[in-house]
Formats: sequence, structure tokens, C-alpha cells
Amino acid sequence: MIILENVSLNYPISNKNLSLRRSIVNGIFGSNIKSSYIEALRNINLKFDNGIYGLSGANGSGKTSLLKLVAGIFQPSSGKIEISGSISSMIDINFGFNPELTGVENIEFRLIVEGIKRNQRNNLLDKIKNETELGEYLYLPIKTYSTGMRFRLAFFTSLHIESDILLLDEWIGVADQNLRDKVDKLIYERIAKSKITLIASHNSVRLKRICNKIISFEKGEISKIS
Amino acid sequence: MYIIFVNFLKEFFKCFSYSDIWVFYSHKNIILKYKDTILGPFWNVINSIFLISVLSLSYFLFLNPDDFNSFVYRLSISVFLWLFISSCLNGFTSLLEEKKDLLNEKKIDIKNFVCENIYTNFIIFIHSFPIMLILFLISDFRFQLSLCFVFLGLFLLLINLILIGYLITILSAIYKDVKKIVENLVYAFFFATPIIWSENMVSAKIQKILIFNPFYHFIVLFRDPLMNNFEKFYQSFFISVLMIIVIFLINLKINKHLEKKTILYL
Repeated sequence: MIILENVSLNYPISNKNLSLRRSIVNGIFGSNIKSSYIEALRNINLKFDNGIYGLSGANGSGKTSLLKLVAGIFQPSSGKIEISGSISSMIDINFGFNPELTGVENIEFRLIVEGIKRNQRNNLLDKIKNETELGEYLYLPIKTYSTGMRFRLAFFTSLHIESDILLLDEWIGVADQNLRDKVDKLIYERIAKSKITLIASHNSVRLKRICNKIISFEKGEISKIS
Repeated sequence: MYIIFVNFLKEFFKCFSYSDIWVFYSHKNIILKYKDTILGPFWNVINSIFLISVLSLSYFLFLNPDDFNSFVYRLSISVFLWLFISSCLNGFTSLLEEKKDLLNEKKIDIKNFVCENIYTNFIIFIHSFPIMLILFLISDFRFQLSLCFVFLGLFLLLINLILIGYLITILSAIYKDVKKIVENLVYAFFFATPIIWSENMVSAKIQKILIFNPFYHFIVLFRDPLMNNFEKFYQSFFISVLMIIVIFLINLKINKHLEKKTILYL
């Protein structure tokens, strides 16, 4: 279960905040100038039980910020988040991969980060290597990969990371046409393994097809729940 | 306050249970850094040897000393250790910027990256040990059991580096000036610390001021046991322990107020 109570998230605006001189002077003499920030999310109250939830809205509406809060990447500026269950996320298409490392090394690192034990790691690594169908490219740095190849690597790696809560951001429609049907099928299978799935996307038609409930965001606030 | 203290301490030690993460990345970092070179991390040692040779030659030509072997040995230990410390300090300032993509994808404790940076530089530092051993054998110093104190010194240095590293890493992610400040301080402290000069060469007044130089104590903790000298070791030992306590308390404050915001600044 995921519970968000009065959650707000403020992004600092860099050109105002990053001066150490200003901070020191303000610290010594005091200042009336408040830190400048953007309210990415404002007083969000949500409760997610088992099911598939869609987060829709325009760019900058707060979908990704909400996913990052749930993933624990961001901490709320105010409010409270309660989460029970393990989390895996597919927030960024780059999947936090290091472009200098090879495909295999990136898979291995991701499995380590996810806390998968050494004895299971090797089996999973072989499985993922086969599924990506990247062949000898897996032994090249991923900076040499095309977007589609990176997608394959990230997607098939993330499929094998099991969790109670799955967070997906704009993944629907990233794959090329040849891979799309296979990806759709695998995403449904992966979603079925998680108790709670949150999917953020612009594509409301596809969200409606997959999700039990859709939460629409506008300027950091919930505009509609359907 | 007590709960925050205990939680931070737990988090601090939890980092070591995730050693798989930073050990993996450290090894890959070193491989990538020295990719396509024949000598690998030994290039670092060669750079240091070059610096030590130039400084030793100048010392020999201008001062014509009797204790030349000891001077070279002392200088080598200090330079190798200084390069380790300075690489760590400079590395902390860009640590989170380099891991931005990963940190925006997955929740990972920042302390993991601090440990990774120290471990990477420590492995490079270890490559200088054979040179130190050779210089030890040709110096006038002899093996004594008290030499083992060097491990205690190294342990205190590493704990201090982890705590200082955490502080610098967080501050440099938020305040962009910190990177430049650290770079300049590292440069200034190279000359303000008895690395290329010795405490005996300066006045008693300056020797007293040296107590306030934390890097002086780090150097003493590692170098003096290797030179069978314990005159300043215990003083540096206590000051280092005191530094650990003080920096730990500062980190507690930082952890409470700044850590949760740090990612937002990247």
C-alpha cells in the first residue's frame, strides 16, 4: 500500500540558491529573501491499494516527481509518505546506466544495486543476455548503442527485478514497432507480478486500456481521478 | 537527537554491507581510467616518483644533507599519502554530478559513492606500496613491531575521509562554489603541510600552528610509525579521534537538513 498525506515537493531554482556567499551572508545578517523554488507537487493526498494506476498530464504536471517520491529518490518537502512493499522503478530510459561500461557490466551493476545475491546474479545475467538478443554488442560500451538497443537492455534487465510496487514512466511507446507487441505482452506479464503498478504517460488512450484508475495532474495538483 | 544519532550511525555502518556496489564501481572506474594504457594505475606511481625525484634532487643540490636516504623515504611516504588524500578530496566535489543519472533512477545512499571514491583512490595508492617498501629497505629504519601502528593510523585516516567526504559531497552538490574552494584548499595545504619540508625546518611558533592543520595529523599517523617515530603520533591520534567526533556531529546536522534536498540540486 502507498499512502501520500499532504505531500508537497519544491524544486530549488538553481540561479538563486547556489551561491555559498549569499548563504553565508544571509546566515550571519539574516535575510527576508526566501529561497526560490518551483512547486512540483502541491498537497497531494492519495492512497494506492493493489491495482494498476495511470498518472496522466502534460509535461511538468508532476507525474514523474510523484513517481520519484514513491521510489524514494526524492523526499517530500512537506507531508508524509507511507509505503509497504519492495519497489522497482523504470523511470528513465537510460536506466541509470553508465555509458562507458559494456552492456553486460551495466546489467550486472543494476542487479547489484537491486540487492540481488551473487548466486542468483549469474543465472539472471545469462537469462537477460539471451533475451536482449544484443549478441556481441553486449560486450561493447553502451555509448555505442542506438536508442532501441539501450531500450532493450534496460527493459529486459528491469523485467527480472521483482517487486511489490512497480513504477513506470513514459515507457509505453518507447520501443520500436518490431519490438512493441513483445514489449506490451511482457509489460502486462510484469505488471501482473506486482501488487501495485503506477504508470505515468501522456498517452491517455493506452493508459485507459491498461489501468484500473487514472489520476490526472495539472501544475502539480490532482485535477481529476477517473 | 539520540534517535537521529543512532539512525545516522546505523546508516553509516549499513554502507559497508552494500560494499558490492562500490567495490564493483571502483574496479570498473580504475579499468576505465587506465583503459588502453600498458602500466595502468602504476602511471600514478610513476608521476609521484617523478615529483619525488625532482624534489629530492633539489634538496640534494641545494642543501647537500647527510640524511639523504631518510629524506627521500620520508618525502615518498608523504607524497604518496598526500596524492591519495588530495585525489579523494577533489573526487568528492564532482561525485554526485557524475552519478546524476543513476541517482535520478534509483534510491541509493550517497555514502556508497563516498566509499567508492575512497576505495578507488585507495587501490591506486596501494600500487605505491612496493616503492615504499624498497625505500624502507634502503633507508636506515629497521622493522619493529610498532610499525603495525601504521594500520591504526590508516584506519583513523579512512574514517576521517569518509566523514569529510560525506560533508564535501553534499555541500558541493548544493553550493557550486565548494568545488573551487576545495581545489584551492587542497593546493594550499600541500604547501602548508610538512610534505616537502620537515617540522624541524620551521620555527617553534609555526610548529605550534601545525596542530590546527588536520592534514598534518593524517600524515603523522601514517608516516611516523613507518619511520619508528612516535613523538607526535599520540597527539595526532587524539586529535584525529576528536576530529571524527566533531565531523560526525556536523554530518548529523547536514544529514538532517540537507541530504533529503541534495538530489533536487543535481
